[in-house]
Amino acid sequence: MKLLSLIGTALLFTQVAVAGVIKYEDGTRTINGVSVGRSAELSVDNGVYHMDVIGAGLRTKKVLVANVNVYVAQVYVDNAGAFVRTADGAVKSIDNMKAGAIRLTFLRDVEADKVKVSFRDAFDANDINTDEPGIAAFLNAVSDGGDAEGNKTLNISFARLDDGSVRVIYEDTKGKETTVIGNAALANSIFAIWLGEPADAGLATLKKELLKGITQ
Amino acid sequence: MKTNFTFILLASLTLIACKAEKAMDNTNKMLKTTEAMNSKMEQTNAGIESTNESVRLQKLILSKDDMLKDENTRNLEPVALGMIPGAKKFGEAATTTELVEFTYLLLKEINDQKPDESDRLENGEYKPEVIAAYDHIKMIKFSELITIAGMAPEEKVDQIIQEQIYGGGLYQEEAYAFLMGRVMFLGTYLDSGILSRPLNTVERMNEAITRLGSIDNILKMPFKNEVKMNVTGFLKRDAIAVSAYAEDGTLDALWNMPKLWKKVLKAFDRDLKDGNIVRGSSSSQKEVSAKIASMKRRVEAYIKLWEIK
Repeated sequence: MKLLSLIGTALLFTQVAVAGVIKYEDGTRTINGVSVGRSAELSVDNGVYHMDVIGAGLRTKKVLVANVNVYVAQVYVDNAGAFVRTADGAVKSIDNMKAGAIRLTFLRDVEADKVKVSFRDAFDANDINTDEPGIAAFLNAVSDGGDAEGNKTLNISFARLDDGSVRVIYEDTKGKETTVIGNAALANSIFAIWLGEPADAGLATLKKELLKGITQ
Repeated sequence: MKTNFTFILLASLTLIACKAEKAMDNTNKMLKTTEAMNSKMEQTNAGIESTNESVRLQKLILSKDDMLKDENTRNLEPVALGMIPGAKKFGEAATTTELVEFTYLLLKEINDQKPDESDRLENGEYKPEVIAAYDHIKMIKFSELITIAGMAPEEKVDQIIQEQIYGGGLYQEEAYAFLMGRVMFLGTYLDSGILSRPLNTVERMNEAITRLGSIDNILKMPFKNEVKMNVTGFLKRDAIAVSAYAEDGTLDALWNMPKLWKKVLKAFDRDLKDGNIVRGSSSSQKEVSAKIASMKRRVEAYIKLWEIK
């Protein structure tokens, strides 16, 4: 029985993609060759959070006459039942989450400046003040993280701390983690990039996919 | 005494007459020489003009060759960056008529050219490699068209508008397509290049404003709803049917000027600040600040004009 349990545990870990403080359990679906996770586990100072995937989709960018595939996005939250799958309600429902994560697997190389400006454009589209210290620190982490490398993953995870603040861990595609502490609104602001007012048509399509949910 | 005086007077007059005749002769000779010189000058000018025209044509050929080099035609999206230097030179060397004629020619080639019948399989379809090659060649031509349109000097674009659109020229439809190509190219060039990065130097900001200004001019023209392009003839790719304004009057995100100008305006405080001049450089901070202030006023003016609309 012990042996079976050990084998089971070993099998479980082979399914787990370890990425710093966050571990993902693979699901059965893929999008553009990227495996979509079933759940994730986030370990931070104040605890370990189990999160479920609530949606995944492809981020495309219109260039000239074609759409270019940029990354596959996956969204995880610790209280999936409280997530509101409507265009207006999704970001607000992040208030109900103690932890969450966005996993971006890049399908091509994207320069750091371009990642930063695209996030900044999304903040602008949502009337989020980019001078607010938490947002500014997050954008600095994006810049400092360097270029997003193709076939690699960038993780943005958050946990609400006991004092009401939010800890965001930005893990670049090289695996380097940067922690940003911000106010209670920081998590919602970051999730608004994908779940809020879309900054462009590619993000609008992705948002629809994310809200649709995923069947494993 | 009187006789002597008359003699002297006659002699003097004769001498003067002789001198005058000689002078006249000289003048005539000079005139002939001048005429000959003028004629030679005209011949020389004609020769120079002919040489200049040869040089210009040479520039056209070389710049087109440069655009079509293998390494410049491999990656065509988001824009064919490798084609830009050649397209710039082509636009400078070509006349306005040549620019629209070339647009006509490229559109015709893209829309009409088809593979040889012998390239069909037994089921009547073209071979996959033939389809891929043909569509790629057509995309090269399309890229040529829009890159030349995008990089053409502003004064030539204005002239094309005057001659072909307002003047009811032979290539009016192609002129609309040329303008659409310019909007598409510059919109994409900015979106995937300069506007996708912080506008943190004076020249980056200046480049963004200049290029956005080129798009802005076209989108405010009285004939703006006619600015469109319809490219068919691809074997597998979808046709490219694009217009500056959608039927409901909205603008594509790549050339949504009110939004783009606001983005640029924000970048003054966020990215450019005081110009990011490196300490110890020769640039005077005062001059840079004046230039930044002037650019900001231009952007604010563009935004106001869209708000008035």
